[in-house]
Amino acid sequence: MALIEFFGCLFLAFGPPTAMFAITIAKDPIRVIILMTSSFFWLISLLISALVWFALVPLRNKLLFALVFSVFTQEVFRYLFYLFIKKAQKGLEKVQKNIHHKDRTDFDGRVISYVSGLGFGIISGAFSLVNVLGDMTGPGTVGIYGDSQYFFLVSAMLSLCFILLHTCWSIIMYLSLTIYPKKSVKLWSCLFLVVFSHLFVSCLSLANDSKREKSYVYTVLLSYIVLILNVVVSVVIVRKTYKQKLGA
Amino acid sequence: MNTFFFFLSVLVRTIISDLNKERTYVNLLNTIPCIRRFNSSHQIGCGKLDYSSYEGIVYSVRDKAEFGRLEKLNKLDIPDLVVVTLPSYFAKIVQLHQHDSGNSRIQGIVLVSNLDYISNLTESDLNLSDDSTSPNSKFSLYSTNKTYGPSEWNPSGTNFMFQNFNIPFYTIYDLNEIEKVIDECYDKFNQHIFDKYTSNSFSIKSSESLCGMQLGLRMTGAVSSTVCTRRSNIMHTLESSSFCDPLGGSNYFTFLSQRPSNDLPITILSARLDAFSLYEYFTPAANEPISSLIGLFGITELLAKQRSQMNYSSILVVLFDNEAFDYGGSSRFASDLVREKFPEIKLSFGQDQEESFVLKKNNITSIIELGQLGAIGFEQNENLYIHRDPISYAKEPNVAKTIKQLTDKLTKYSSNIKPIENINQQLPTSSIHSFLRNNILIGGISLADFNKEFNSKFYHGVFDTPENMNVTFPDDLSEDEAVNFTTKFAEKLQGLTTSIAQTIFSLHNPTQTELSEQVSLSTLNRLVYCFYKNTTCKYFQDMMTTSQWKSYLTLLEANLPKGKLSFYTGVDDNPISGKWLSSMLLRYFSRNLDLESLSEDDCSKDSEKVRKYERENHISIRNFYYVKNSTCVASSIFLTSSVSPAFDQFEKGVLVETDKFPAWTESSWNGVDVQMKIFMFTRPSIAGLTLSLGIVTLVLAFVLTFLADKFAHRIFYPKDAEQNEIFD
Amino acid sequence: MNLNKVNDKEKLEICRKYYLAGFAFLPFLWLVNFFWFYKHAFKRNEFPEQTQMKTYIIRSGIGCLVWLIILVIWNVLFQTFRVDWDSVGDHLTFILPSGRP
Repeated sequence: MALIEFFGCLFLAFGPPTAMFAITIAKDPIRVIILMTSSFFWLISLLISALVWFALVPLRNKLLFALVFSVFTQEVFRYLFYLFIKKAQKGLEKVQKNIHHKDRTDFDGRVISYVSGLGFGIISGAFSLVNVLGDMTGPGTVGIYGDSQYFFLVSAMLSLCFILLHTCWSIIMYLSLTIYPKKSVKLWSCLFLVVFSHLFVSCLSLANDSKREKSYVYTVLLSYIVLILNVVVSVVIVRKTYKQKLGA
Repeated sequence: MNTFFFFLSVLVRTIISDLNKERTYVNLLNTIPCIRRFNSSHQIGCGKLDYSSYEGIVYSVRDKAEFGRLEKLNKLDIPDLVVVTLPSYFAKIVQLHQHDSGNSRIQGIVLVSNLDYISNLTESDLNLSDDSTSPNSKFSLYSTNKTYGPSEWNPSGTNFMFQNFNIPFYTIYDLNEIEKVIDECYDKFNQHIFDKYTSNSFSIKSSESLCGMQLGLRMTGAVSSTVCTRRSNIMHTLESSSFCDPLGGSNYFTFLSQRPSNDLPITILSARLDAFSLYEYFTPAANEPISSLIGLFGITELLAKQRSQMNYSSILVVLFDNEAFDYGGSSRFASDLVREKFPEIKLSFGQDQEESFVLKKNNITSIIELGQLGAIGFEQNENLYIHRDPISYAKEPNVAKTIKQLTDKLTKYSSNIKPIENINQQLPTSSIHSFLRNNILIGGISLADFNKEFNSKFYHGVFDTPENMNVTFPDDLSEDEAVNFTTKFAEKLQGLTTSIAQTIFSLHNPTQTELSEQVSLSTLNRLVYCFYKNTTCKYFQDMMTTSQWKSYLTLLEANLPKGKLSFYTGVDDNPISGKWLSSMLLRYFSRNLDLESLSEDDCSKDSEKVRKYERENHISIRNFYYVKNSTCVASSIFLTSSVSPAFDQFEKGVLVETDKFPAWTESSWNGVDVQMKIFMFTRPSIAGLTLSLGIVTLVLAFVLTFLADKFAHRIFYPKDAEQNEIFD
Repeated sequence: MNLNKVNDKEKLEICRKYYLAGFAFLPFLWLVNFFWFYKHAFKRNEFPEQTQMKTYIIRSGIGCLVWLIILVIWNVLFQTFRVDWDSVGDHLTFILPSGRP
């Protein structure tokens, strides 16, 4: 019986990323490499935030602090990856050109931003959900202390939300850094959107009260509204990259 | 602000990954399993198969109605159940399961054995003697005898110990854990669902959450001792796997006379050291063997005071281990004597003189065994009965002579020790069987509180407790008062044990002197208090050094929680709390009183005073240690293995003479951290919802991504852009 | 090895070597032999070495089949009678089952 829930949550949380990987990324080895590298950067950011959390002993129980610090660290590393991949882009393009023309796929800044976002997303989703999934293989589920049994389902939904959100955030951040001049209002508002919505959704999860099921509804709903907002903004920005070129 | 304290967050999940397990499972750690054992041809006990896990919905049986409902539910096609029951219904539930074990819904049985939790119980509710009605009958003198068939010594026996169950059995006696299972699991979640059961049908709605339990241990051995011994010896791969271990530990013995000698007539004073119950290590053992041990220690203390006078005979005090499983320990002792394989004992007197001593059977003249003594604690019981084997009594003249002599003396010294009424009655469960079966034809008597059948209804069971022996202490006593409180049992025991000591003292005694003292009532009271009420009492502590006391406390915790003593025989000579304690007590009570007042420095084998004493008296003393109230304990107790002789070639993978000697082994098992846990089963409605959402999301994701990929150019390109624009 | 680059005489040599080696209790060599050269022995136009090759691969196929039957029979026998064969059964078992007969 518990295995049914296991597969349900697995498909729910990792279905869309698997689809995205299989259809858009697997066909090009360069994209796979960028995905792996950006996952690695996210791991480093997690390591650093964990070390800081570990070191600041008195603040260990204050989850809010740990959460906020981790969000900022992740965003910093997102930016660092942007710088890193910018430097590598020329080399990667050369490799691309060597591939037989028939096999060549699109490769430019938009693709990089999408792929690296998905990399961040998949690894963060994996880390957040794998332990929960592991517990789902046993015969029991949460509930004996009075917690809601929807815990697993909600965890999977929120993980999926985060995976997609990470993709959007990378797109927004990278593309806005490319097309908007430094210190312009538009650039800063895009960056602010990324960081703030990341903080917002993370803190929303703090508001989950497992003893009251209604809080789950609000949290999930709000998170998905934020997701939709971010998707819209990223589509707009991608379209703007073309206009920009033309317009300039 | 409240919400900060009830939370799940992404970061918590990444950093503190155990949080889920803590909310999902409640681990029950103080539970005791029934394990699997084998004899040479059969498998008994409980265990679970490698590939299946035993879990089920918790169902409790606390009264007749709940049991009746279980009977009906067992026949329906419902999900598996784990039954938690009070003792009154345990036997019936086991029979319910065994009746049709293939189709039974019961996947595990848990017995609540804490009597504080259960109120209003009568004695008949607790009639759980796990042994058979004729204990050890296969290895008794009468197993092949046509005139004397097996006699029902233990009518309360359920024989559960010797059945093979395919489900796990456990017992819980920790009050907190009992409440978790019954109150917080069954009453809270399951009771209202089971209450809706009607005689027509039973169904569980998909929106109901049920509390369940997972339990069991994976046993590695199978079939029988013969098979698992053979398999343990086969090593195909580099790692050797052990499937089973022979049961047994050590027999302890000591000489109460000045020196061990084969020249003087030897009288054996013995008692059994071990017990069993269906659940590993869980042996309250109040009547068998603690009552006999208390009597034995009282007699030993008294006779040890006469050590210097008793130079006309050797008194050998023996504690036989591994007797509960078909007399493994005494058959080892007897066969070693017969085959002259008895281990050599090194004696050293002073510095240079050394001798070796091997016990021989030639001069062993009689055996006096103390059996169950507990029933004398009840008002109506006053007597001990002298049991002996009728066959050798009739056939062998020297046996008859010895037994007559012992009977005459005992009846002379005590009016409450009587021979059995029916002279053709068999010898009950007793170590003497092993001696007679191995052709050591000597007069042996077993003194016990019963005549025709056991008085105790709890022989080898989890309710063989002091309360069921009528040994209780008033609530308001402090430790100092309780230690001196005289129970009925101790009061009567004093007279009886003094008579027995008188008898032993007068055997082979050329003079007619009698003992001037009685067995010490205060010693008996202290032993009763410490064994039955408080196993960590100050009296025990005063008999041990600090490091010995620490080992004792560690042992107590290792076998069973909450300071309960265990008298299980164990495997690999692992120290078991009850047996180890008994060996320490034997050391203490048989100590050499001449050396008792030595100072701490002098209390060692190397000290000059000791060496001089040993040389002058031609005595060898093995152990010296110094305990609290300025007492030097100088004693010599010896150990011999109590593993059955059938395992003499265990390393070669074969058993020998399994028709003559018992071959009991205990299966090994793969260790698990937590043997029993309770949790909530997933609601089918939620599981179904999750799975369908998951599949829908997966399919939808593939479809949408495929479409998005195909029409990417139309979505992302603004209308007025060129194709194949390479950007930046 | 690409058979297309080898002439017919050498093909026959390879086929023969596999056939002979298979007698050293190597039925998989026979199986490989059979499938590898099947096309050349049966589905090609005549060439001088073809009859000899045919005999080799037919014999390889038969040998393989015989081995399969023997192994299946042994497997069934062992699984059914392992417990009844007591000591012999245990000594023939490589991984002794845990908790079961």
